[in-house]
Parts: sequence; C-alpha cells; structure tokens
Amino acid sequence: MKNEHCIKLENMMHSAPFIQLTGLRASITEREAVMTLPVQEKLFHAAGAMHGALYFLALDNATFFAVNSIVEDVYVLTVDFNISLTKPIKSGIVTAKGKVIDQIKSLYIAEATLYDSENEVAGKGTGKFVRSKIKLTPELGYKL
Amino acid sequence: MTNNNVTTKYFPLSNPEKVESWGMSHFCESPVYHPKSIDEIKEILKFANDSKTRIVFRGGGCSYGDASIINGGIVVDMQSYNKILNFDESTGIIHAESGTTIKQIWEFAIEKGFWPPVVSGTMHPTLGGALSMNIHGKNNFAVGPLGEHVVEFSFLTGSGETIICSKEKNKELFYSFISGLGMLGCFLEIKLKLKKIYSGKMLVTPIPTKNLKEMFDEFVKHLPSSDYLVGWVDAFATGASLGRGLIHKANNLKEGEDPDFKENIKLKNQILPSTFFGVIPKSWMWMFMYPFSNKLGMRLVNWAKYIVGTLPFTQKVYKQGHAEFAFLLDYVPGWKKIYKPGSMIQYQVFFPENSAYTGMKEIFEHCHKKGMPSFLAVFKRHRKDNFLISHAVDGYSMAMDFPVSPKTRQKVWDMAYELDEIVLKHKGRFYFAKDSVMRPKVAEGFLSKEVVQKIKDLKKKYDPNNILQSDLYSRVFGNK
Repeated sequence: MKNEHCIKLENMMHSAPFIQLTGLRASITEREAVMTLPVQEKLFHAAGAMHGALYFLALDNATFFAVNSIVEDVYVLTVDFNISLTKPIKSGIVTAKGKVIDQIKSLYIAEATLYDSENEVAGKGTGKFVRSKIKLTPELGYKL
Repeated sequence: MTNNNVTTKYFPLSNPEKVESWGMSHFCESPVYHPKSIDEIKEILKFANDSKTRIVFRGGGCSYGDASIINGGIVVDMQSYNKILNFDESTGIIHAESGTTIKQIWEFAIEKGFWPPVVSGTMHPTLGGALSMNIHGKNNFAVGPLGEHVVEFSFLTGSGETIICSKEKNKELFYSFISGLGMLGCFLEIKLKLKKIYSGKMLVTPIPTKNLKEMFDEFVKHLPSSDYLVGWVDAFATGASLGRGLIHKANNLKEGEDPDFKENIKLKNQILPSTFFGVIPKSWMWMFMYPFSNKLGMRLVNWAKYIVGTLPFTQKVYKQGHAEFAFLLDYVPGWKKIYKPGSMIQYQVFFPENSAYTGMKEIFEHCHKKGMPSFLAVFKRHRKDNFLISHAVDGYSMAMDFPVSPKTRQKVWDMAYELDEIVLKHKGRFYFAKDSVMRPKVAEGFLSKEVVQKIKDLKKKYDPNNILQSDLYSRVFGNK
C-alpha cells in the first residue's frame, strides 16, 4: 500500500540530480518498488545499447526503495549488490520491479528483476542494505 | 526536454501506476498519460514512434482481460478526451470525442428521447474502447454490434495519419478499425446514431426455464417479439436441470403508450439508486456478498435466484427503467472485489445455431467434471456481422465468470484450454473484450489463418514501428 512515507520517498528520489538526468521514475509501496526508465541513446555504450550502469541504477533503486519503504526514519545504504545482465536493451522503456525478501537483524535483503519493453527479463539483481545515520528530512527532498 | 531527438513534454516519464484489467486478474505497472485533445494524443504518438516506446490506448478499462494493459510500455488513458461535440435531434446523430463514455451519452440523450443503440452490461466503456472491441448488447440478434450504428469516425493510425471512415468512405478500413483491438491506431471523433425512445421504461417479462433445452426453446419463441433478450443460467445445476435459468425479455414502449413519458424520461428517474432499500449504501453491498464468494455460497445464491424466479408472483410483467435493465454490472459497485485477491476471468463462447445446444451442454458438463462450475453464466442470441475481428455468429453465446485465486489460477487456465477445444470442434468463436486465456492457435482456429494474416498486414501498414501493443495482442498475435 502507498502511504505518506512512500510518497515522500518517491519525491526524494525524483529530486536527485542524477535521477533527473536519466529520467528514472518510481512507484513505491510497502516492501515493493517499481522503476521505469526511458531508454536514451545518450546513455548508450559504444556498441549501441543501454549501458550496464543504467541496469544497475534501475535494479538498485527498485531494491533500495523497497527496503526504505519499511524503514521510516533514516536513509538506507546499499552495502552489497549482485547483478546479472541477460539481454541488451535498445529502445522503449525498461521496468524494474523490486521487493524485500528477507531481514536479518539490521540487514535487509531485496531482489529485483528488470524487464525490457517486450516485457522480457533483461537483468536481475539482489542487494543487501543497512540503516544509515542519515535522517529522512525535507532537505533531502523527503517531503510531500 | 529531450529524449534522443524527441522534444516532448512526455519525457521524463510519469511515475508508474498499477493499472488493472476489469476482471482484476491482470495488471501492469506503467506510466499513464491522460491526453485531453487531439494535439496531445498526436504528441504522445510522435514521442512513442520517435523513441520506439510501446503504448496501449485504454478507454474505460472494461475489458475483462489484458486488452488495455501493457507491461513494458505506456498506458494512454483516453477518458479525459471526452467532449460531446454536437447532437442533431432530427437525425439522432451524436458527435463525440472517443473518450466519451456510454454513461455520458445516455445521460445526455435520454431527456431528449434517445438511447444508445447498443450498450454493454456496464455504462463505463468509452466510445473508442467500445468500438475497438465492437461491443454487443442484449439486442445483438436484432441490431448487431455497436459498430453497425456508427455513421462516421476519424482515426489516428499508429504512424500518425488521420483517416476519415464511414460505410461508404474507406469502407474496408471502417470494418477493420472498428473491432481492431486498438492495435491499428485510436479513434478520435465519432458520429453515432442513437435510437428514438418513447418512454423511460421498458416492459420486462421474466420467463423461468427448467433446463438448457427449454432456454433455447423459449429464446426461439420470443425472439421475433423482443427488443432485448437475455438469459441467466444457474451453472451449478446438473442432470435434468442442467442449464436451468431465467430469461428476461424487454420491449420498448411505442409512441403514445406511456402516459407518464415526460416524467419517466427524466434523468433523475433513470439514475441507478445509490442505496438498497433506501438505507444501505450500494458501495457496501459487495462486503455482504463476500461470504458467498465460494463454491458453496455461489451454489446457494444461484439456487435461490432460480427458485425465486419460478414463484408465480415474480413472473409478472413489470416496467423497468432503461439504465436499470441495461447496466446490471453497475448495480452493485465494486462487486468484483468479492473475487479478491486473485479476482476473476470471464470466458465467453459463441456457437453457431446448429451446434449451440450440444456445444454449451458439453461446456457445462466439462466444467462440472473439473469441479469448476461458473459462478455466473449469461446466455444471449447473436447475428453475424462483417467486421474484421468478429466474435459474432448466427447463434448463441454463453458468458461464464470463473473466480481465480493464486492457487487455482493454473487450473482455471488449463480448463479454459480444454473448453477451447470444444468450442473449436463446434466451429464456435471468442470475444477479445472478455478474453484472458486465448492462445495463438485458437485465434487462428476461429478467425482463420487468412484473417490473422490480414490483421498482421494491416498492423504493418498502419503501425509500421509496432508501437501499439497490449498484453492481449502480444499473447495472441505476437509482439514482433
């Protein structure tokens, strides 16, 4: 379910300069997050497909915000991320769907799948996240 | 802002939203746009073509399955493009934007003495959506699908070309764009001929039938004298009662037959009541229905409905408002929630007259054999039409609701695949507005290889970048 915290997280993510550069957009609900990313030629690698950094961006944000949806006071941090890229992407939009799969004390584990515009799997990622000391405040863009 | 060489306000994307099918058993999480004008629609289309982004045009979202959702693309919700532009009372022709809903049209027209020629069981489809699926009503046997009542429309193809079509002008495209599943482009403005009515009420005759055979016999008997005819079937009944149910026959009053015409025709007397017994908000009703949303509960509900329908005092002819008779699916708002969390699919089959009885009997028997009788089944009479993608037959249809849960989903799909074989064996057809399960070989089986090829050829011509997609189209016709 989308609560006020999730909406503030979305606003925080969308306010980040790097996110604005890439056009990544989020929908965050409790324990889950969906990211959509337009495929842009200016972010291609030399061989003419979307750079792997963008795969990471979408997958990391999908898992990161799935976790932060259940951490309401502080920013979480990615401490480890494994990624596999399974298909090149050249056009349309990509969608990453992430969810929290486990929590061991203060360590959160989340996984995400990246789909291309034909809804075929183009990548997967699993990340580990911990609570940081950075408070979620309006200065970070965490506001309605 | 720019995306490659595209300059458009549609980049960056909007936030992804969860968009559900009518049956709530399919969804996508996609950016959603709400264009209000032709220019905005064209701009989205240009953005999609330039960036090779797949889009689906969505009307009221009233297709049961995945016809108006797209995973991996953008949803273009047409409901804000919804102005009624003109109405000519001398001809009954209404001119409206394609996002105008059936609700808007009947509420606009009824006090002027007009009613849409064809309506679905819910009033929420848009004109564009209704024509993309070429919807039919309870009068299909008499007046055909909605497309037959269209005078003219303008259509924006996937490549951005605007084409005007009527039964005389661009005739072949008229019969292809209507029924084209929104995969060749989108409707812009539509001129539709409404029908004249002389009362706000119709005469409704309830007719109970003991079994499927009697249902067919009564339909044959009453067809020539009916304006509307629909049968409800207790799909839980077996043996000698298999296919038992209730028919509702409705007839418009003729000019001068309604002394209260001026009062009955008023919108306030047509709008569906918002409460039951003047007390219970109808929006709460689904919660009372929830305990019955299982096999035992639905068996009881179906049994009780049939028994009540056979009581002599319920068999009297009565008068009912047009909206009340037409829009049964709107009677209990949110009724589909009783099927949560998996929600439901509808499986509607159309059989030619000569094989309809045998085919439907086999369908019901197979559902019983699998232990999955339909929770709600509706029987109708149809006639053939000339549209490219047509579900119509000179025969009968049965629409059956099946609940879906995460546990039973695969079982329901497997049973539907088995039912497909029965339908194809009897040369039956299917309806994409209801479909959730069709496979490519089944589409080829009922439409023919030639028609499927023609659909693909038209798509290549009018949507060369293949940007118009839906999950349904990808599933049935492929997305390459």
